[in-house]
Amino acid sequence: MTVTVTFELDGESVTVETRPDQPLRELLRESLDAKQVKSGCESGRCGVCTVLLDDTVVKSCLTPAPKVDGRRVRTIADIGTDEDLHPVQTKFVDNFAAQCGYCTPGFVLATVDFLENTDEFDREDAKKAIKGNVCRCTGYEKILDAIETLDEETDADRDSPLGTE
Amino acid sequence: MTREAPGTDSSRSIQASRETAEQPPSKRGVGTATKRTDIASKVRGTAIYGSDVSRPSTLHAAVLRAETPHGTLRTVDTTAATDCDGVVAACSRSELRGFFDDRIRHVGDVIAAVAATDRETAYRALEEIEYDVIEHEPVFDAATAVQAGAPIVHENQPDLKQHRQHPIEVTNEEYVNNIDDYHAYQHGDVDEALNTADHVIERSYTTPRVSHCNLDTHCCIASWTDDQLHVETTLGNITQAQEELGDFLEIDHDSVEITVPPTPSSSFGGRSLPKFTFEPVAASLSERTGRPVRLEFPRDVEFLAGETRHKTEWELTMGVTDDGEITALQTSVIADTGGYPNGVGHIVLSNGRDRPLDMYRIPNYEYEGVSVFTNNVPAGEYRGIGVTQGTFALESHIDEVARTVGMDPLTFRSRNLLEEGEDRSNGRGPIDTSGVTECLERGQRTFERITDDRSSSSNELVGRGVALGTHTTGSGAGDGRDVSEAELTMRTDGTVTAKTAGVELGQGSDTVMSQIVAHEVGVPPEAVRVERFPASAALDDSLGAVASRSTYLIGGAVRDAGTQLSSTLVDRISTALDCSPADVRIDDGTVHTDRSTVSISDLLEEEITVVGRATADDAPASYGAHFAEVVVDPGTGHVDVRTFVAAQDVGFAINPKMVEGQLEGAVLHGVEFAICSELRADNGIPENSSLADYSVASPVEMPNQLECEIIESAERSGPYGAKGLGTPSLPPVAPAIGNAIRDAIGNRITNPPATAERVFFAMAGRDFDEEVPVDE
Amino acid sequence: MSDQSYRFPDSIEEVKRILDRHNDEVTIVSGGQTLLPLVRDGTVELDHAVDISRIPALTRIERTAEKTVIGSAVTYRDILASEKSDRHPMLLEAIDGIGDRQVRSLGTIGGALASGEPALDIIPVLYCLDATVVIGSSDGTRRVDVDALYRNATKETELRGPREDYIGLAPVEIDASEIIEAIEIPAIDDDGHHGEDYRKQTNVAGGWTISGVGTSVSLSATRDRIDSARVGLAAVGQTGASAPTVETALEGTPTTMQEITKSVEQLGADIEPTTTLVTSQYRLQVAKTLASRSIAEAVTRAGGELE
Ligand SMILES: Cc1cc2nc3c(=O)[nH]c(=O)nc-3n(C[C@H](O)[C@H](O)[C@H](O)COP(=O)(O)OP(=O)(O)OC[C@H]3O[C@@H](n4cnc5c(N)ncnc54)[C@H](O)[C@@H]3O)c2cc1C
Ligand code: FES
Ligand code: FES
Repeated sequence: MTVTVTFELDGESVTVETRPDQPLRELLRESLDAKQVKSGCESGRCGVCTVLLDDTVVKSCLTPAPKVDGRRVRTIADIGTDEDLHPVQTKFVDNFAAQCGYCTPGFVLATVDFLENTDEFDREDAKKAIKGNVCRCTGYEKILDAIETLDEETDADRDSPLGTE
Repeated sequence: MTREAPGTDSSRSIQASRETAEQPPSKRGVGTATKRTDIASKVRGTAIYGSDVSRPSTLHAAVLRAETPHGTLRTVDTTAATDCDGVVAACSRSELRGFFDDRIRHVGDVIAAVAATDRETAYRALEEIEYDVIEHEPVFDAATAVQAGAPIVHENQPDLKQHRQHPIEVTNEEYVNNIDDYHAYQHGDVDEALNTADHVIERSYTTPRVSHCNLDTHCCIASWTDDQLHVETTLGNITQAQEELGDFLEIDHDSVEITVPPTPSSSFGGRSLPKFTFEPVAASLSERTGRPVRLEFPRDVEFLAGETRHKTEWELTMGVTDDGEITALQTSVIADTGGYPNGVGHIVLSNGRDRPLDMYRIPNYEYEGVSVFTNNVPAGEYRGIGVTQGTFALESHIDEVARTVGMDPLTFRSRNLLEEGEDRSNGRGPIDTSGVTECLERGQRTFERITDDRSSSSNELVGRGVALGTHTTGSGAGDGRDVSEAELTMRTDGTVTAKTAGVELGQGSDTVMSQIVAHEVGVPPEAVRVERFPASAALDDSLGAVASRSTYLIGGAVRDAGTQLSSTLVDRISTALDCSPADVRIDDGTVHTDRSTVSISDLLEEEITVVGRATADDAPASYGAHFAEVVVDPGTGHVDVRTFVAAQDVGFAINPKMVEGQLEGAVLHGVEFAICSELRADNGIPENSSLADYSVASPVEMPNQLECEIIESAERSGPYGAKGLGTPSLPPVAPAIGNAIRDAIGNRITNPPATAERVFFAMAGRDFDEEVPVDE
Repeated sequence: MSDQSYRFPDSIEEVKRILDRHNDEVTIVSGGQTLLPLVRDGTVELDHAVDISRIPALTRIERTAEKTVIGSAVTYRDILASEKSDRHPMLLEAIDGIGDRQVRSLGTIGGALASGEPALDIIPVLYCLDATVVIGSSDGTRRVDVDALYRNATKETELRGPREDYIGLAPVEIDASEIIEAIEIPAIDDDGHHGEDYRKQTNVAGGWTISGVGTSVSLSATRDRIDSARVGLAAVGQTGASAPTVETALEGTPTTMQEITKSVEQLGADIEPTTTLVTSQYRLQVAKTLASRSIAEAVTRAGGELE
């Protein structure tokens, strides 16, 4: 390791050694044990490694790790809490938007970014917004349902308890 | 929910359940869209999958994989690799445990393997391995490989310790070499029937090699404690996997224990059974080093060694009368097994043989199927093994036949469909519950409603198609050999632990099991914890989470246990409260009697444990009728699936939202098969073995409008009437789309995927059999 | 230099100084969206990175009456979000279709132009918009037309970067000591006779481009004749490509579908379609289809009435 970087990871400052050619995904998963950041491909296609870099959605496998020096990285761990889910998470729960769930953190983060930067949208816009994320289980339908209902009630009710109908 | 006093029937087999299914469902029992019990960890990202697991002092493995498809390893020198800093062991192929001869059979086959303190070191050490391979003439075409004189990949039916192989007698003189499996069957007199038929229609169909593309790539950790091998990885069919691994590694079945990671990954068949170059390699390295060894497939290796759907070639000849009655069907199929067999590979052929007879009346039938070793990447199980390919061929053919006799394809199908209670043409018992007519009717109605009044412009060709499909539930035999047991323990705090052989692969089986317990016992689903019983448990299960048997059979066992638990509980409570069992009502964990309302935990002083059991005396068929509307761009050949209706008989929807999710997922895999995906290879070397190059469907390829019609035919033998869903919902998808494309462009693409290029050239009026021009 | 390094220079001047001294060792990193997959598969070694994404002068969009100047390290996302880029609808349409949200968050025009990958959408678009690329080095600054970066480049052209095969995508006429600073897009003298369009076909959404076609047209005062046209192509040849024969054929023709189709028939003279993913015959056919439609749409947007 040849380069030292300091950045904020999910609200905490971390300083860690890396290399110019190390993807952020690897640094997060292997040096910082951030296993909530998933790994699925070598080509930047699947989106499971998605994180927010200064609130902008990026794929951590396509981000050189040293690039985040001095910046803020948010993973799914910083979106909602077990007791108080983020509205996007609540909608994913309500709409059965996860099956195996491996893709889910990436979709949630992409959706968070999309909603924060979009006023009005329809299902076609939602499809485009999640184009960078692959899901093998759901056929995307329930994920799109979840996103669509977020449009209807942007200030989604955060209190909907888990597991009740 | 009202609990009746337990009946006198204490039989442990699955009860007829039509009546029960019609009972008013509890709020979150069966028949309701209860939230998934595993969802919180998934949306929060706290779920830990196979590739996330780390264990102390684990070594990392890297595998040197063949770049040539066929050869004999003369020497493999791992000395320099062993000497690398951080490398703990390097094994040549012949030093690996189990069946590893000196032959390389496909690109990606294992040459040597390294275990090191970290993955990078392991990969770097691979570069230090020197080897010498004598190349042999490879064979890539299954139809060629089976002929006399073809290069030998394996002797016929080699014993690679894979179970459920069956003795074969090859009656076709042209099938000589590389035979993995062979099936021939006939009833009636096909030659005579074809001779006298009003129309005889003959066509060939080819289906592509495709990959599951599970997002979490294969990853396992193997470790040994004395003579006991432990493998942690997602496997659906744990019992068979333990046996096969044991045999392959030449150790006792009991010496192999497979456990799944905290959250298993998706499978689609890709994780049902062990893979040659995966678990055995990690096990060997772990034995050698005495430490746990972790082996993870990079994405490209998923394509090389993660197994694919068998590529198949079909020839179908059908005889029909003028008024559209099928008189004969002659089918021949050649399946490409690739370099190594898979423990259920033979099912490709038996599904190809049997499934048409579950749907249609075919008085004269002749079938021959052979699966053949080649130097392509190995094929294995992929959602709808064999039946996906066979249904594509059959339902495309039926469409063609209907057009030839000038009948509407739907009417043609209805005319030849087996009816409920009618014996199959091969003499096998009657179809019990077939929702197929309802699938057709309701599907058609919905399809017409939503495709109504669509205008089309000159820039588009619109076509509509329909296809049927069926698949049996469970292992297919229905002979009572497939069993499942489940253990329920109610603790004094009122929570229940359910131990089953199920594996939650994303299909929602844990949620279904907790719904069943909730329904039977009257506890909330969150109070039910679903666990997998360990291999050492005294519980029985033959197959685990494969063949769409989770809900049907494992669910049956849970239900059986649930009824027992309920009656014991009610007994205890009535004793404690000194009332009649008939007066006890348990709802959402609360006990109500005429006199009081208390929680279970207040009354229960001792745990209750019961074991339930279910036996598959049946293999009920599930049916689907799927409808597609496509829009083809005449200027580019691009196909847009505009509308899709999947009407699927699921017997009974224990969780309707999850049923929809399964159907929608099936449509995705079917759309890919129909128009997107194909693992292309040049001389056995996959050309598109990355997710950037191999096309997986995005939301844009999915139908713009997708409707799922859930049909409930109340299967007599399944819990609450449920039957299989995951597998049966896939086969009709691709042929429905293929038939719609045929309708739009006037020509049939017989070799999916119908990529824009294939469609474009087919449209230009070329003969559909003609190869698309290839550039040098 | 040490074994490896990753720097964030403050200014263009500093980048130029580094390139001047170490151009055979350092690699410019902008968004990294092209680089990282190549680093992973071993095509590129990234030992000394010069990250230009924090240089203010390179991450600005400026707009004057005459032109829009987009810094080479402005991300696609920021271009879409900036009000300053709104006078080039074709640019925004094309960028909106690039990759996905994540890729657009980091990907930049500079990175695209420098890699020259023939499938990139932005090259034909900038060509249609008559953009100028501003390239600097310690020797000074030069301005070239977009297509000039690729027109004469061959595999033998000396390519920038530490390795001879550079990033192996396509030849680009930029020296290893140079940095792309900005893209200048002239303001269109919009007298209501101008129209543009970009469209592409990919194998699957988000997948590789099979063919992309951009068009900009100026119509006659009466709007029934094409005065001039530019047709830019993606993913059809070895490098970014234009279709001069078709452009010439279009000039002066009436705005009828028939004339457009006739001109487009000559596309074969302009390109040698590659055989990546599909056959060259098919690629040519798709390019023709898209070109006809793109030209027709541009004419319509320019207020022309198609017959
Ligand atoms: C999943 C995925 C999908 C994509 N889809 C599309 C698509 O649909 N359409 C499309 O057009 N593109 C697509 N792209 C490509 C994307 O547009 C490019 O990767 C991106 O524009 C490159 O910009 P960058 O800043 O990331 O370049 P980098 O990766 O940082 O750099 C690329 C190369 O250019 C050099 N370089 C960078 N900036 C400069 C400069 N200012 N001066 C000199 N040299 C420089 C670098 O040294 C490097 O060699 C896709 C990429 C990915 C990963
Ligand atoms: S792992 Fe980053 S996109 Fe696939
Ligand atoms: S839920 Fe399994 S990949 Fe999306």
